[in-house]
Amino acid sequence: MLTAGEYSNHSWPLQPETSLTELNLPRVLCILSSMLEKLVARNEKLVDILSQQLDGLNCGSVRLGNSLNTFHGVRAPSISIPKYLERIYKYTNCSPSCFVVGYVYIDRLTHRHPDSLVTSLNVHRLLVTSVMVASKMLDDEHYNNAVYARVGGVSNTELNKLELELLFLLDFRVMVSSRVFESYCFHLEKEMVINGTGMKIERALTPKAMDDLETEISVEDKQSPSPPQIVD
Amino acid sequence: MWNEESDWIGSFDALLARLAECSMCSRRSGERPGAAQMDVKILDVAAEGGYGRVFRCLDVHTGALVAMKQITMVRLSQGIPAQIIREVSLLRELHHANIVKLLRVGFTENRYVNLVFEHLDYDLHQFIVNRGYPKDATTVKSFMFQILSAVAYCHSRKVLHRDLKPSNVLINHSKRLIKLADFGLAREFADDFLYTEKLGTSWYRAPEILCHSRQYSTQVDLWSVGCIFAEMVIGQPLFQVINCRDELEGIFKLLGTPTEETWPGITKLMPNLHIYCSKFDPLGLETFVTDLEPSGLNLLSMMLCLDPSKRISAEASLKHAYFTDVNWI
Repeated sequence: MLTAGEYSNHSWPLQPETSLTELNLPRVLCILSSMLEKLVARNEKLVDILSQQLDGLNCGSVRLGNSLNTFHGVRAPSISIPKYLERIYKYTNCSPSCFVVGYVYIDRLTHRHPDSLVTSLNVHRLLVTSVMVASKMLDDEHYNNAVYARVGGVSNTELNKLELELLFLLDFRVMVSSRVFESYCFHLEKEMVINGTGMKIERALTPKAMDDLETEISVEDKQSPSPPQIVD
Repeated sequence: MWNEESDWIGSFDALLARLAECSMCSRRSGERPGAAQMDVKILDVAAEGGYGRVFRCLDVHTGALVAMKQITMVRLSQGIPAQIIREVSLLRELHHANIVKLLRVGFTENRYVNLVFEHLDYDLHQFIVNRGYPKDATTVKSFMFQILSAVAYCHSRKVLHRDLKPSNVLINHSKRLIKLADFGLAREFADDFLYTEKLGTSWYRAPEILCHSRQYSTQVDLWSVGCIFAEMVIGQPLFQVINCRDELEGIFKLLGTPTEETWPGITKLMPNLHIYCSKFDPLGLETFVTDLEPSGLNLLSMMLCLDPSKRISAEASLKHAYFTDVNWI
């Protein structure tokens, strides 16, 4: 099913001084990274404050909502949010719109389940799942779950479970109208103005085939005490 | 062994239903709570398709008849097929008297997606084939008005159906109520399953799609509605009646081979048009669609217009003179 007014693929312009051989990240990735990092930092600070207050009152530990438990890892993956988004964009070749719509889903999740916080323990899994679902909604041609799993550093089985969880948490309300899409784009662009626009990433980003995926990562929990590493 | 073939089929259906019920009710550890149990009692298998089965069920809470579409997940690598996500999310947003209601969604055993819909008696294809097509003009008019109401609503919500055909138009017999269904499921599953020619029919596809245009809009649905309209009147698919090698040739035989004058942009869309088929003079709709009042024939010709930009919209169709005396529900 397509919508008659296809979601406008905002032509995220290249930054100045970009040669034809050097493809920059869409601006949306830079601003999403920034916003999500702020959100995670704020939420983790909130959890710390609540923990301290409860400790002082001897009331036990912080009990947050468990809606996002499926997305939780035992520890935070070592890969940063910007690098993770860059990786998804680089290898899945999904349209920049998918990242906006993925952000809409995460925003809807936090509104539907306000007691569940986006933290460093769940943000990566939330991102890869929401972008993948957005790609299924928007792009007529998209990679399957196995590819997204490999790119996102989770197993195919786990990503299938995460996809299902996300859809049920959102009650399958994953349609994003042109109007809503435009309002989120406007919101993101406004954030860019506030943060300053000099966010150029000096790196060629030609989409590659999966066979050329030179860096394996994992955001899955390992038995070893060290956090998951990017394997060179 | 049973003597009668029908007894054997009936018993086999009952067995399938019991097996399905067992698989639905067995909840595995770690599965989403509430996702497995769909709160329905399966009665029998209503239909079978490339995607899976449709069961006729009873809602255990209300006692009402419901239909459960159980879609088999064939590929682990695929996860939930995009078309299921799209259909469910669309039906979550579309609320109209002439669009089928999705009551709930469930998932069982990492193998099945279960969609529970309101129950309707049969589809328009069955109605035309098995029950004698709607010979009275009043029924045709009522059905057309309802189909167009649903399509106009979809288009107002910026949604294209893209797969309108009689088997996707459901009927409540007692109320003579029409409901659109199958928002794109069949199209996606064509890649995963071997479809018969009947299932993969393109008799209802607009000429711009048959010409491989990637730029099309709401007009494709109006072409399909026109084909359904003609089929209700003549009792069989319009382009099946015309002797031709494929659907596109049939369209050109009926309406005439397009030119830049009749369809601006056709030579760019189909540069080898003159090689593909000879120049046909239009046979005319009235040659095949004989039992239709003049205003109905006029509306049909506006729906089956080769040039998409000149094709009538669903909204405009509802205001057409053909519907001045419409009587529905």
